[in-house]
Amino acid sequence: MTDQDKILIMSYLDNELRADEVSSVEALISSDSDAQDYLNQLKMTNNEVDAFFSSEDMKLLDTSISKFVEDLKPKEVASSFQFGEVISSFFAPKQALSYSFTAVLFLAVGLFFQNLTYQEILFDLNGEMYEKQVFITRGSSVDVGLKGEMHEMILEMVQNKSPEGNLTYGSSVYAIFLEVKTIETDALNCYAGKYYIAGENQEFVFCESDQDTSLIFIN
Amino acid sequence: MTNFQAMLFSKTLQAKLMNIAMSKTFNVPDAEDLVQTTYLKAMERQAQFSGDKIDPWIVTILKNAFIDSTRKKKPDLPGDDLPELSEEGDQQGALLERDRDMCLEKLDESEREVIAMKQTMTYEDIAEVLEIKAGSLRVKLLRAKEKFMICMGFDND
Repeated sequence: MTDQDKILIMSYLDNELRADEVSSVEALISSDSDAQDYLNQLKMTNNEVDAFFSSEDMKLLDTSISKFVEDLKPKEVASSFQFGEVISSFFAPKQALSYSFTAVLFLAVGLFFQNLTYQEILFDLNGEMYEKQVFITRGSSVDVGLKGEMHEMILEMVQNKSPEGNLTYGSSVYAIFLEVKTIETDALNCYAGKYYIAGENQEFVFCESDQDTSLIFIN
Repeated sequence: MTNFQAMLFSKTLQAKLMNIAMSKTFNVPDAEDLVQTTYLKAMERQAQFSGDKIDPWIVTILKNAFIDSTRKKKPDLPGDDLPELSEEGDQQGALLERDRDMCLEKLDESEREVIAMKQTMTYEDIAEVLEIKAGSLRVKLLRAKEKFMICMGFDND
């Protein structure tokens, strides 16, 4: 077995190979007992390294650093003028208008007012960071694919109660943050947030009802 | 929150910094100091950050902060802070843990660094942060893992 074979086996375990390389490594492993042994030795090595980096010491460190970072974060000061509050009080007495119409109005307003202060609703996402990796295959349309993957990723973040997520799409990493809950009714829940890529950000509103979900990019 | 703050305060970056710090200091209190110093220095110097990616910039801050801290204190001897084995409990597990820590500590700092980075980063990202070619990174990582593997007795030779 050559050093190149060893590197390929290591990269295989680290999910760092292209599809054609995966096939050739799998062929090597199934036909060469040395390669099979080496794969097992690397697995044991990786397990021990993983154990070190997920040890109780690392959990202690994570707890203390998370608290430190929270304290460093700038505190958001809510504006005394809540645009959403004004709109909800306007609609509140009029029973004929449905919640969904109010929701549509909120979304429509969001399209035109970037600095809109959303109605205060208890933010209910407090889970772990959600991560997902998507490999771009040949023939996929990047634009359509990215929006679709982003939509699915945010839906999964909401389902997992994760306010932060990392979507690795091909070689690009999108940092996604769900920042506020903008609508909460029996029929509809909406969150506003941003994703970041290469120093740029994109605002969005994500809504889900029992039957449907929507993702709207704002700016 | 600004773009810079969003990148700086992301959980992903925090995990990367903690792993790299732990790979260098090998103990929680020093790793904690190192990561906190790194965040504070990054905030002080945010005007100097002009790139798209924060990782290479902040890892350099962490490395420099580590060099500064080692200049100020006497280095620990290898094995100084290894846990004492208890009389009771899972002796075999404790022995394995002790061997693991000792074998990781035996690696060069740069070897531990690539192993730590691989926990949360892709080969491409690590190569970019370390400013080396992807091929060189693979060789470096393999050598580090093999050294650890041999120390742990996982190789059949």
